Amino acid sequence: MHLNNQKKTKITDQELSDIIEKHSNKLYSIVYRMIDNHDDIMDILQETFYKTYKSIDNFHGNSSLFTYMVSIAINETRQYIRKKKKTLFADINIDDEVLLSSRYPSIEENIIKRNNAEKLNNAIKKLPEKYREIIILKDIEGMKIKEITEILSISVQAVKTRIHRGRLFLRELTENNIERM
Amino acid sequence: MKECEHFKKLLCDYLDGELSKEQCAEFEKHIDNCTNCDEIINNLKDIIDECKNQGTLTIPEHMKMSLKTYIKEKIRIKGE
Ligand SMILES: [Zn+2]
Repeated sequence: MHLNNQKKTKITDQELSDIIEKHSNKLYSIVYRMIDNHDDIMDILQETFYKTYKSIDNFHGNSSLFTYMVSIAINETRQYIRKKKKTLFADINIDDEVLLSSRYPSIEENIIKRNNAEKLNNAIKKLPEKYREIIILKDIEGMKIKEITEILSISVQAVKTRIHRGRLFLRELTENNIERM
Repeated sequence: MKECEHFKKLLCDYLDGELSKEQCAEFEKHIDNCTNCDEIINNLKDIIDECKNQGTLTIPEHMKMSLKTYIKEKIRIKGE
């Protein structure tokens, strides 16, 4: 009897490249804003895409692939932060230039814009992890509340509460001095 | 103010457009008459706008390339 135990190729190289092409900016952006280390970002992204590949069969033609990928990335990031905390008692130390240069390429461009961006980034770095997550997903990446409930596996009400507290926290941390333009 | 406590809970629902028409009107009526809540709302609006301005970062091209190479190589090695 012939049993076909051989695993089929899940997706082609091209499809895999397309997935990375399509989603890598967003995932990089989320993870980068959560942690401090460029080398470690690669580990997290590699794990995220590899795990996605392994469960890709559940997602044929399904729009929730993206939320699934973000939830893996968030979990990997949480694990990373937990491990890191054990060895190093330091909060995150994101390179400001990377965050700023993507949006404000030149110093001359606009001082107020750059100042605001810097103030905000400094404040976001100080947010407790769960509020940092929610602010990044909701207010920076512009995800919908419904999507965030799937990513974090929490209720709509819990998402809303977290957004509320996160923003108020951010308001304290920026000391109300994001300048109006 | 006791009234403020009620409206403070609705701040983000207001900002995210999650309030009903009636609730929204009620909310706006309050902030028209309450400098305290009005100031908080404006601060939060500025923060949310600045978050939006930040937007999505772009992954460096070399990282994207090495991601593709890494995943394909790992799949090949594991024979999946
Ligand atoms: Zn008030």
